[in-house]
Amino acid sequence: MSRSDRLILDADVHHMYASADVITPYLQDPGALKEFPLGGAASSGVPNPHGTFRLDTVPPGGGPPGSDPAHLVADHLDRHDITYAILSPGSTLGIGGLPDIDLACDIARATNEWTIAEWFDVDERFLGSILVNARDPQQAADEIRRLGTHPRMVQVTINYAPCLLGNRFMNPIYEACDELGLPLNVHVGAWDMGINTGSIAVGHATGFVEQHFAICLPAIHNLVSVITEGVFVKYPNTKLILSEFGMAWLPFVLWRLDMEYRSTRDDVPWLTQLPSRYIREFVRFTTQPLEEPEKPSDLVKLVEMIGCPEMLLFSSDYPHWDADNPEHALRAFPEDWRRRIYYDNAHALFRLDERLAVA
Amino acid sequence: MSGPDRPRVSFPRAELPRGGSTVVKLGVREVVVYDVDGELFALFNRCPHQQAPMCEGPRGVTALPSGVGEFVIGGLVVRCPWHGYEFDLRSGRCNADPDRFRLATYEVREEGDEVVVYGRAR
Repeated sequence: MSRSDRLILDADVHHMYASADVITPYLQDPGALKEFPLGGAASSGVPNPHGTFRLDTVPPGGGPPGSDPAHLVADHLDRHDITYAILSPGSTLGIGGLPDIDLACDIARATNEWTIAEWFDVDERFLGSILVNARDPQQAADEIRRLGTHPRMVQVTINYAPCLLGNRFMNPIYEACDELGLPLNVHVGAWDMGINTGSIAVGHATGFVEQHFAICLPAIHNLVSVITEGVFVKYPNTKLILSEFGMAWLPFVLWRLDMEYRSTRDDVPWLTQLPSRYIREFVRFTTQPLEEPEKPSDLVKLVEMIGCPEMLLFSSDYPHWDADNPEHALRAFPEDWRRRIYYDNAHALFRLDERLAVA
Repeated sequence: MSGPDRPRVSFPRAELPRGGSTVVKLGVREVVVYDVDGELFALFNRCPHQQAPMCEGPRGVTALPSGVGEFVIGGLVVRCPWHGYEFDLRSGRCNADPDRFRLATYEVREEGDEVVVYGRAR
């Protein structure tokens, strides 16, 4: 397949504030942001010693990578011939760790307004995420309903919840997602920042390697929680996207969780089929950072073990330091899987036919 | 149906008390026979998971398929004494994974003063 025939939906591209001032006009309480800078609340204490961004993504006019829409278009969408890119707000990855709940909700709303007003007009390939603060599920649900019918806002995004994802505390968010047929995207970020407790049940990491590895650990428990608590039995019109948590651990979860269920099904009688079947039907994983086995062909075996290439959505994570190259990342997979992972799976998940007909 | 070409094993009805169970040999196979309020069930005595003796496991009810957060008690199951796999007494199927795990079931009848377990036709 030639490059021009190939469709790519990049499910995770980070657009950034040039400075916090860009969302001031959209805030209900503009003063609060200045009193409570985002960065201060969102520090993990163990930053990447080499920085957060790819060094070649700084816009020519200055400012953080991902903060100039025209540059992002040229540097990423045009360069790699990306068909659609889902913008995932990059300046607010720590939002779930902010102790001021109302401020976090205000920032989320303002960020959504900023995305729609200042990014969508720049390029029709941009799609958006409805950012919400999971620490207040009712305000989150209001925001989902406020924007949920916007044809280009294709998912709801949270950067961590204050509890396991299956906890009924989260139900207003699932209910709104279910009502609007939107997937809930849980993106890494702030998992152990601010007042979040994401991965620190067994202790705080003391270095970046350890901390960045540990991203995947709370995802495993959150996935098990959302399945065993019956979220998709109750809300079958939504799906869960786990963004940036890796996927090589998935065979273990599928096998082990089924094993637990075979022994104690009567603990979760609302599940009427093996948990692995719910995961395959209702959960999707973004690919970046795609694991790098010694033998690249082991990735094919991995997806065979998962048993469902439909579960994977290509993502680059541009402009972060650990971004995957859209033209290089999926090379180990057969062409048929590449087509699905690059585009077809996302096209179906986000109902793009229906949405873009409206847009 | 029963017939002269089918393997069978019988034992006195009095040896199987109400609500109880007993193990018999049908050829080389062990079969566990249950009395549930006078109704008889016969299943293979080895769990298909790791060959545990089913006769050592509890027989009772389970939580039926329900709404989220609800527990509706019913059914008729026997539970493996090792890993807890539960099998439906009537179908022999593992409720959690019916396509993969199943206990063979056998025809069992009261005939006069005896309980007769029938194997499959040879």
